[in-house]
Amino acid sequence: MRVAEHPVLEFKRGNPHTIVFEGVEVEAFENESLAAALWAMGIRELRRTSWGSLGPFCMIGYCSGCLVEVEGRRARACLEPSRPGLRVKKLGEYVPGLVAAEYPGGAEELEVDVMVVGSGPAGLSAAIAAGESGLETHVFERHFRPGGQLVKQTHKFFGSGELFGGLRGFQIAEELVSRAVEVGVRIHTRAPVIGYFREGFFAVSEAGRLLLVKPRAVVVSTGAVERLLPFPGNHLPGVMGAGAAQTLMNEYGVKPGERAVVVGAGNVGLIVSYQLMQAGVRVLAVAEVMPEIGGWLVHAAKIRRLGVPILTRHTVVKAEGEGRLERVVVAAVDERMEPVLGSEKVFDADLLLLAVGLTPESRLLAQIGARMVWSPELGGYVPYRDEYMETSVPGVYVAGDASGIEEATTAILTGRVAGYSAALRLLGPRQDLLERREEALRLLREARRTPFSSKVLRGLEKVVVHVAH
Amino acid sequence: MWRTRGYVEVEELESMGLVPPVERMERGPVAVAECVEEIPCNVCETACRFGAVSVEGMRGRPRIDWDRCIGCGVCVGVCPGQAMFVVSTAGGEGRVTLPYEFLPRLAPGTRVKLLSRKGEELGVGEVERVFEINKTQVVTVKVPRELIMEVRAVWPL
Repeated sequence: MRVAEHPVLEFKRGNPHTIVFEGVEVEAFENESLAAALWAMGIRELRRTSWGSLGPFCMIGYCSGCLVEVEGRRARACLEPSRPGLRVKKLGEYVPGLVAAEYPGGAEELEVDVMVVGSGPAGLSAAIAAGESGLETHVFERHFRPGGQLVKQTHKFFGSGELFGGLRGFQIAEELVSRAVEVGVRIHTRAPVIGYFREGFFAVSEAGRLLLVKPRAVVVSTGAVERLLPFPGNHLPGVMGAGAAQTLMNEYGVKPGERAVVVGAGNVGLIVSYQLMQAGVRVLAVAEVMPEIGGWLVHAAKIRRLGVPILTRHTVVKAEGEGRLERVVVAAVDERMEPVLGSEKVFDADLLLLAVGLTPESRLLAQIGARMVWSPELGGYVPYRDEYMETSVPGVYVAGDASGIEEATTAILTGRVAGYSAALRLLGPRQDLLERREEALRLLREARRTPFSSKVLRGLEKVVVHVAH
Repeated sequence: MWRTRGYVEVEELESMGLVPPVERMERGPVAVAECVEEIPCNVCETACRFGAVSVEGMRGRPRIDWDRCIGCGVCVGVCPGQAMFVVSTAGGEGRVTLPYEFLPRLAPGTRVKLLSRKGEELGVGEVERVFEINKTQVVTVKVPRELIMEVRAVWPL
């Protein structure tokens, strides 16, 4: 179902057209993803295996829940823009490998000063810093629209004016994109970075051609992936990451469900619950395994006053349904976090959102050869770096959630630091650049002085290497 | 404890000195900042044209200068945490100004359900005044005067 009217967002849908899914005609709109179009038309199962039905989980191109066959090609439905007449089929148990001759157009070489991988808040901020320093800067984004996960944030952000405080996330994304374009940054969309080659280039797939990008400096700002929880039925269509529901309702104006249960009362779970209500979805409960709510009190208060219960010391134990989610079983947990027998509550829900944390998407850095370290405090594998965001590979920088899970403000700031560092590497120790980088570092220290940052700071102590510059 | 409940009780606000004196509320509308954690944010302070909100070093709790505050409600509309409210018992009538971001949009005269901090229905009230800041409706609703520190949300009937 599509959201006709929204209190905060206006959905400008493109031209309507028809696509064919499993031989059946389905209505879709230009500028929406196949996954969104199919979900809007009530199609939940995108793949069936011997062990069950699968549907989209992340909606941002990292999981394989929405893998389908498009015009004989294997594709993620969430990254594929809908186009008139597109023929889409379900994949079965076996997913065929890539076929040869993927790039009939051959390869082209592109030499750039700064290459930025990912166009979220960190990547765009890094690109703006490099671009305004006068460097030829190219951003590569796998999705067909830039902005990363800010695009689907409808709430107003905390902060001060210089850090977009009071603006809504999608408004910040608009500002960052237009600022980047203003300073001459070139943003390539539908251009996933496939990998790094020792000869010094990155392979990028763009519009059916292979680009070999040779940068003088690289900023990797590939973001993060939502975590899955292990429980029976977690594969069912209708069980998805909180961010996936935000993609559907806030980016595409597609209602993710009618009755929702949310797992996790951190900021993401609390904020998504409020946004669900804005999209007209009923939130039956928020379950939090810890004894206390994890997010800011003000975000909890926003949904509590609208009657949404937050069940602390509770978790999801089972999801049930035929081909799609129909019921969610939640239970209390004991001191050892084990479900208490007999405490189960059953919710008739068609949507179960997991807001149980994120993991840095840092595989490209590992592949480049950056020294990585496992940091539970930062959410997973992250690269060692110095305080200026340079990794163990000279000229390769990291920014945003790929360097450790935090939030959009710190992503913007680490992006700025990385962008100015890249510029300093290529342009020498220019006083204005040094000053701007110092200012970004100062704001970053300021932003990390919250109770939630203590864990991050412990993590940073182990992964930030102090070197004499 | 508010971290298990998900909302703050009036008694807790009182103990932190965040509730304006009764005489001040009788004199006319005044802001109440129900922002008790140290959020790195000073949007309210920046938005107040009367210099009535101060946030220590970007991180303290916002403090309202009850003499400077005129109860205009701008902070209600800009607060990213929706933690600002305006209350009044002037003329013996109770009024609460609160943020609203749902459909249908509210207009003066609309009758709405009054909700407490924990979502309990406290009766029905009438919207008196509405203005909008970046898609947030700032809604002033008439409530029984003894409920000005209780009503914290409205919902369409």
